[in-house]
Amino acid sequence: MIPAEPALTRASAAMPCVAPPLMSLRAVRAVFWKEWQSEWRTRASVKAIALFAIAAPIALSFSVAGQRLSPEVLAGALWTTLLFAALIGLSRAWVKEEENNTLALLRLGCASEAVLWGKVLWNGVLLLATQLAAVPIFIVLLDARVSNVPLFVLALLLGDAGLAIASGLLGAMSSGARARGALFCAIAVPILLPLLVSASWATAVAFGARHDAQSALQAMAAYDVALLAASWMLFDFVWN
Amino acid sequence: MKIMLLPIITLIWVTAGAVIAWTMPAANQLRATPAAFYHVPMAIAMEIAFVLSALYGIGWLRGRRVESDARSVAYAEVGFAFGIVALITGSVWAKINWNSYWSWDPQQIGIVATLLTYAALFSLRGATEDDLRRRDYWAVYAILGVIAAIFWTFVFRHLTSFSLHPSKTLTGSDPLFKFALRFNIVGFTMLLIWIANLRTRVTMVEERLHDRALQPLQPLASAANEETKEAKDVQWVSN
Repeated sequence: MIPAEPALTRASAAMPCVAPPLMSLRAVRAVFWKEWQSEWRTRASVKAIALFAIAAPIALSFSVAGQRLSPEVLAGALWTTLLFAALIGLSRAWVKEEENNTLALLRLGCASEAVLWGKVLWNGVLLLATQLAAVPIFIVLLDARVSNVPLFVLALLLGDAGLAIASGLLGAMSSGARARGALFCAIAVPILLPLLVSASWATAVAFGARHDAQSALQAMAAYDVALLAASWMLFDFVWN
Repeated sequence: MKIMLLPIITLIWVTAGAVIAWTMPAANQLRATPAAFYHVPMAIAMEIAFVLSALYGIGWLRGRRVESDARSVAYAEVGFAFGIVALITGSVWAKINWNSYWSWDPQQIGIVATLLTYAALFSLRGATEDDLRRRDYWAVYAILGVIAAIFWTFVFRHLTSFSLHPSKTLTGSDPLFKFALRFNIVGFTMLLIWIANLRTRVTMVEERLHDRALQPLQPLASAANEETKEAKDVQWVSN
């Protein structure tokens, strides 16, 4: 006897975002898991982000070796490094779909919100994982002293959240255009600059600069929320 | 006659504004220069253009009317031009007041960042091939750009405690100075609307010429309309 029922259930378990038209956490998880698995095959994005984030402070250290850098300069260098490292890797999540012609399947299978938040979540995890390696190397190579660790971590997390959220909507836009990778940088930088500025400001305080970090953190949080709301509302127009 | 009214009023208004600008004394601890009366109104008109561009972008996303998209693009283009004028006149004024064309003042960084957003908007439009997608992406990015512009205009200068730009120039300075600035803001906003209207009309004519206008606005005769519809159907089938 052919077990019709179990086979059906297995099929829907393999593609859990097929059935529900509304966004469900299960669908988001499915997209995230798909990203995880396809990244694990080549590890291209992880390598790109990590290598850039490690190579940049090494390149910097040639010119500033032996000098005591001010907290503001260190914070600026850290965030410039992290931003460009992120720009190199984050567009991969979308460009990959376009190159492999898998966008149509994703469109058919999942609610647009599930795709967006799955990718955003994946990009956030990717950033955190690569920064776990890159930030300590930066701190050691450029001899930075983190005087306020909680503030430093909070600034990193808020910055990463903004980067990940923005990369969802902007990555989808750039993947549909010519010269995808270069265009992603061109359109992401102006949107991410406010975040970069506030993050550098807060990180400088964590490195020992004497000014108020609270307003910078508030600005970052507010900007993250604004990006989140805008992505949520506008993604349908980009996706469909 | 109704159409001619805006250009006539605008031209008289802007000319009067220019005359006032050349006769203004110094105020608010700033040295007098006619550049001031172009710099502030142009910068504000640029911000207005950005907001209008995003609003027409929303209009496009809601109704998919080609005219909304054309207006959105027109405001962005004119706003970009105004922004460059504001940047140049601002630099001239900065040289007179602070003895340097560029001093990384928060407002100066802000205007460059805003212009960068505009530039990204144009490059995105140039890079997208599909017609519908190009307009959609444009509108989405224009809305995102406004979020960044709001940050640069209202948040950034409070974040950094130093600024060479005096605060409350528009509300707290000498009455005559204040009047001249406000007069010019109104004038340049009208100028913005007039040029953007002209630009929109040019774009709409181009759209018709290239037969790119979408159905609700298709200005062709009904017979021709049928014909293009048929041609499109054939194209769909062949695709």
